[in-house]
Amino acid sequence: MRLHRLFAVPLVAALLVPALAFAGSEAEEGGDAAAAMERTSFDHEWNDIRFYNHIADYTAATGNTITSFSEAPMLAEMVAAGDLPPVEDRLPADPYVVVPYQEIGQYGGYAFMGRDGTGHWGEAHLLIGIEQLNRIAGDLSTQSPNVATSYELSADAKVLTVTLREGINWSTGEPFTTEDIKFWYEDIILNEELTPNPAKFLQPGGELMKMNFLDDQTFQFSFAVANPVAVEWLPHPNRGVTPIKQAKHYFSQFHPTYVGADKAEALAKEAGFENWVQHFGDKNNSWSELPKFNTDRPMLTAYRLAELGTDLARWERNPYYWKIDVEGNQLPYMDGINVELVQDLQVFAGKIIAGEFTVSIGWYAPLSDYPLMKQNEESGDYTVELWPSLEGSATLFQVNRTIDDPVLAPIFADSRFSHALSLSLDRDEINEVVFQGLGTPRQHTLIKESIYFEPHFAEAYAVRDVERANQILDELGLTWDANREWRLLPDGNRFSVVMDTGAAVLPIHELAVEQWKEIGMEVTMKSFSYQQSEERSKTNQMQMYGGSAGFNARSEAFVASPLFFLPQRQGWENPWGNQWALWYVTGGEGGIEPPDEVKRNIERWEQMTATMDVDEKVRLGKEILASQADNLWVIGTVGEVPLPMPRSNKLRNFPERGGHDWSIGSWTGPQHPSQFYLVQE
Amino acid sequence: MSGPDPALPPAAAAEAAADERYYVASQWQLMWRKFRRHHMALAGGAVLLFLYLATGVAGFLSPYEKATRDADYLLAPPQRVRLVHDGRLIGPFVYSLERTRDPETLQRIYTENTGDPHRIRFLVRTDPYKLLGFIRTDLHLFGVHPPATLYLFGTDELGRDMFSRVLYAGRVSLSVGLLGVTISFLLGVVIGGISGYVGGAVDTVIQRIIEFLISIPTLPLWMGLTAALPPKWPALRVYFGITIILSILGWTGLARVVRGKLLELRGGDFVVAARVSGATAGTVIRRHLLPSFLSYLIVHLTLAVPNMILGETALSFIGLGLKAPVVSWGVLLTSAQNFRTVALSPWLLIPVLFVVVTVMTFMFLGDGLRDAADPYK
Amino acid sequence: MGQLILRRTLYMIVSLWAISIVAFVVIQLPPGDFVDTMILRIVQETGEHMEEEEVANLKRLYGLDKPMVPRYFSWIGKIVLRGDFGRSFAFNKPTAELLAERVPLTMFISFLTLLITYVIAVPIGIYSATHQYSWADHLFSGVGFMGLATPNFALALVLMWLGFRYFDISIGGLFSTEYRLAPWSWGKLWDGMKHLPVPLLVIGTAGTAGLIRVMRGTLLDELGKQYVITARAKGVDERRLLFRYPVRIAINPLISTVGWLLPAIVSGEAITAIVLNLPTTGPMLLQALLFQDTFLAGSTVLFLGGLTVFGTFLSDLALVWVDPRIRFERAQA
Repeated sequence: MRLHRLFAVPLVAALLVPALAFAGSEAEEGGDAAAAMERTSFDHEWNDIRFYNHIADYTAATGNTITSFSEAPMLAEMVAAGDLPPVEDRLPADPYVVVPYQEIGQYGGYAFMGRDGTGHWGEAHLLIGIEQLNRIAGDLSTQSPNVATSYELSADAKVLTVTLREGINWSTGEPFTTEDIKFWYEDIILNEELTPNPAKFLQPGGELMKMNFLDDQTFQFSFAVANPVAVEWLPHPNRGVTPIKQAKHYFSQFHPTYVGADKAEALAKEAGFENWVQHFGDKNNSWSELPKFNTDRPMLTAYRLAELGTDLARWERNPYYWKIDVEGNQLPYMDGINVELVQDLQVFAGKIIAGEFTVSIGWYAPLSDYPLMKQNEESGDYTVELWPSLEGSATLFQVNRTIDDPVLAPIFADSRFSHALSLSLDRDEINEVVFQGLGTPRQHTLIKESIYFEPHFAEAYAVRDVERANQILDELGLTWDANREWRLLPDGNRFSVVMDTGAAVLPIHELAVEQWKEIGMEVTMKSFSYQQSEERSKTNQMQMYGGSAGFNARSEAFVASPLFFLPQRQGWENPWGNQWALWYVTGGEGGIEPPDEVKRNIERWEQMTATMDVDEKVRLGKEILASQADNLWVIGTVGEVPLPMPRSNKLRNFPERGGHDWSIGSWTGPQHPSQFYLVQE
Repeated sequence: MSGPDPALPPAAAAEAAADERYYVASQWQLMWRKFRRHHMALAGGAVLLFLYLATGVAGFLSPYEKATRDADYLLAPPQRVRLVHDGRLIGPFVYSLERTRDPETLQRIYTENTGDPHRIRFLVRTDPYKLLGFIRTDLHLFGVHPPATLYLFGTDELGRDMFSRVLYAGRVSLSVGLLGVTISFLLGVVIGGISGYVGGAVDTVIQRIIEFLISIPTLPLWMGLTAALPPKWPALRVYFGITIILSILGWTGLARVVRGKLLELRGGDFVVAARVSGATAGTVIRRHLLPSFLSYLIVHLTLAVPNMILGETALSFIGLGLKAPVVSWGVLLTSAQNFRTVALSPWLLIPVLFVVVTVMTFMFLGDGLRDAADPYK
Repeated sequence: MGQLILRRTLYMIVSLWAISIVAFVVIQLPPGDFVDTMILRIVQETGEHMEEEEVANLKRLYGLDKPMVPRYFSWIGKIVLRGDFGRSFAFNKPTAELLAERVPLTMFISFLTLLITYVIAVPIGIYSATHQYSWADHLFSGVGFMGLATPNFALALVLMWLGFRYFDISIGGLFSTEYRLAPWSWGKLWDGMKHLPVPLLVIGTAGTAGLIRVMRGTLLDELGKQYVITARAKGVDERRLLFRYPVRIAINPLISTVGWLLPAIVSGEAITAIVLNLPTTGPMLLQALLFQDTFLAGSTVLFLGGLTVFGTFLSDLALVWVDPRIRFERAQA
């Protein structure tokens, strides 16, 4: 059934890129014009950290060559003591060459970072980086080589061939080859105990993808139908396919296929688990790349987790890291990274201004603290830069158009109601109060650098017009009460709705509610824990929602998962089409059938993910965004808000600007975190 | 030791009359007499009375409504009330504030425009509000006419007048714990009394129950119960609900102490005497035992009420207490507990002063009551 | 006495069992579980959402796909049979190990605070009661009230700021960043000493003030009693008179609640510890509760509950020992 296929939505879905291997000596020049055109195009100054896929490329570009390798003193000592093979044997014969951003770094030093009690785990990757097959380049958009030296998508988009860099070793010193990828596919994905239900995106056309292993360096994904989106798996930090995270030599020791079912179970029991699946999962933590807990796990990253306490985690350099700088120095420069647990965000701010942290990510350094951080820059010996977030709108407001309430439902379902809410918002005040005036008041749509962007998408109903808003509410039959204080519903009761605010009521919620009061709308705010929100969403109890989008608005992410533009997920963060989403995920069995406009958008997106024609794709994407601008499925407030990135003045080679976004490769991925260094006294 | 010493012979008729009144005075009259002499307690009582009255008519006393925003004066410092402008006494007035912004740090900077005085008007009509919750009016005791501003305690990050908000917040903070304390106090005294007086198997059962209840940390209880209460309840009612549930669980401390005291006292001669002469258990507890440790109960109560007020601020701190748009001192402090406030806008910590003053007055009051209730003085 | 201990031990076991049920059930009252919490964090961090299948796989991995009753029995069974308190999801470590990591420091700070509290509060309480309405009494009352009346977190915040601004003490924690990982040395010791006063001051103020009030109140009651007046009339030495009975009796309510201090000593002042970033058990429990880290939260609650039950048991014994009247009555019963 066509519909069924339509609903089997891969979260990382099709983004069509004509197949290409990395051509030319400098990969960032690679790619044809059409492909570059179609992606998000930034023209900022942050995309100039260069690298070479091969030493030969470096020589070809500069005339220089690299003949010998050197290493960190701590590793040299280990080599001298016979604890470690020499650096030439640890590096690939043809390592990846990074051109340091400012200068050749100094070896040594530990970076200090903090994490808060609410459990963010990823922040260390700001300095560690993510190693995927490909890497998002400095333009925050195109792909460039990394673990893979090249890839090729067949003309029918059914076979994706990837070639690995030769001679890369795991952090344990064991070689990394297609054997490890084979282990991932055959012993994890195909193992029915470990993966009883493979994710839908691994089954394009309803059939689980196949893999072929040609030699130690070359392997293929093959699909039953054309699946051009597979290319997008290659650079993604955690989403999609992560075949290079499980070292066979390590994980096979817990796997029944290799040690026998009895031994695998016995090992699990001994370690305090109920069965081998739990034991294996514990060692693997497979969802994301973050080596959260397991200090034994072999890694390909520049640092590996060495110690994990309840309030301190320590990463240390990976002696087998496979990248060098232009003078042949093995990266990374720093010895390691300490991440300290800081329970209270306010203490966090205190530690930042005291200059205790080498670098802190934006969610720990809110804009409201910006003046305080700026004032203490000198005494704390750090610098605060503003990094753009790639969000279309920092907070979104949504009206549940499928609410189970005979009086409210027809009002909520009417797009004019959303228009009125949007028109009565004073975005300038929100920008000033919440974002120190640094954001851009706009409607929710993609960021302006996106190829899908049109200025009027961002302008739609985004300028305050209380008169017009009142007029709309009058048209909708929401009359004023006797005191002209509140609006009344058609049934005579006062119009009063509850807005879920997520975990906390924030100033932005208070502001919006006060602004809506001026057009007679009584909106009360209520915060719920995540779990409660999820339940309220599943049971369709949410009337309104106001919360962070937590979602970047790059073209790539839009195509992969047009979260706020289509009702695809019956989630707490996307309640505007709650029952339509249920209809969608159940293939039409549950929920409520969406109106034609929404169905048309779903079809448009379906076509987008399948077409090979770039112009057609952009046209379809713009139609979806135009539909958002006309109907305001979600109401945007202020977007393109920068986030402060405070960093110690001792940290060098760190870019002044970058994208504050995870999906581009842990924020700093495009800037090669392994070339950051600490000035040594 | 206070009070006339009966060992001394009366020296004058006036003194004799005074003594006469002393001897025939009821217990309450005696207590009032002694209480009057405790100046700190009297002062505390007066301040407390004032606080309750002032917050009761918060709308009238505050120049703005609690939600009135002024986007032009975000985080403005308190404005000083002055009397003399340009060498002339012109009555209470404030200078208008001029706003600039540090281009480097984005810090907002406010300076007084000493050429632009604005008289403070009395009985002005500005923001509408509901007096005592039902009288719709816009009359305020004092204020200024816009565009002039009157921010006695400065403004918060949304540009709302802190003075007005502190008054409004006091209404909630001062009342929210009273109910809980009352419930747990009654339960504690009654159950502790039964346990201590009856003893035996009843005592054992009650003690085990108390032990069990005490053993459960309150934090998970709060979190579990917050989640279990109907989500449709408004924030204030949820908080009341939890306060009541916790007070139903929280009588145990007092009950144990009451029991301990009773165990200690019930063997006393006066109790044995009362029992022998046929007094019922209730009478014995009420007439003979309770007064003998009334002072302890009063100390407990005067600590319990302010503990509720402090508890409210603490729970707001970990995000389990009241939440905006409800305005309480705890809620006001929630948004003030950070270094940018301590360093750059310390006036947001003014609610702390109100909490401290309230709690201290409760304690002085309790102190006075304790001394006054002491039958041996 | 032996029989008393035996009977109380039995009660203790029943109490513990009841606590274990509450500890497990109440914690799971909020909807959702650890995996839901984790997914939320992933969403917040990365803006990415998971498919239903992946969520189901994760729940299975953490054993959260089973109903609550079997999970309870598996948890309590391991505790009783093997002394295994389960693993923390968030830290991926045995709960016992996590507690062992944090309890010693917590107890160190708590004991130190408690010691200071008692050393300061009991003499002042006695002095205030015997010198009622003297200027010193008023002063102690005033300062004590102030200590009680200031919200701990506000005090902690301001003290930390002052410490940072004027005394160059790094914000939060017990050690500066450079000493965090360093082995013990004089420098590290001194660094730790510099950090101690703020937590002690913050945690100690409220406790001291409260204790002074209770001590003063009960002692005043005792001092007015007939036996004291009689003794005084008989010319008993004032000092001996004071310490012989009234003080001992006035300490009685302090003792009957001392048992409950045991869990407080172990859990520490959660809120203050959070503000001051102290690596104690209180913040860990709060975090476990927020994350729905069932085994860590449940086992910690059970552990603290067990300590209270045990503490009450001890304080009952102490009461019998201190107060001859109760001892006498018990002996008769």
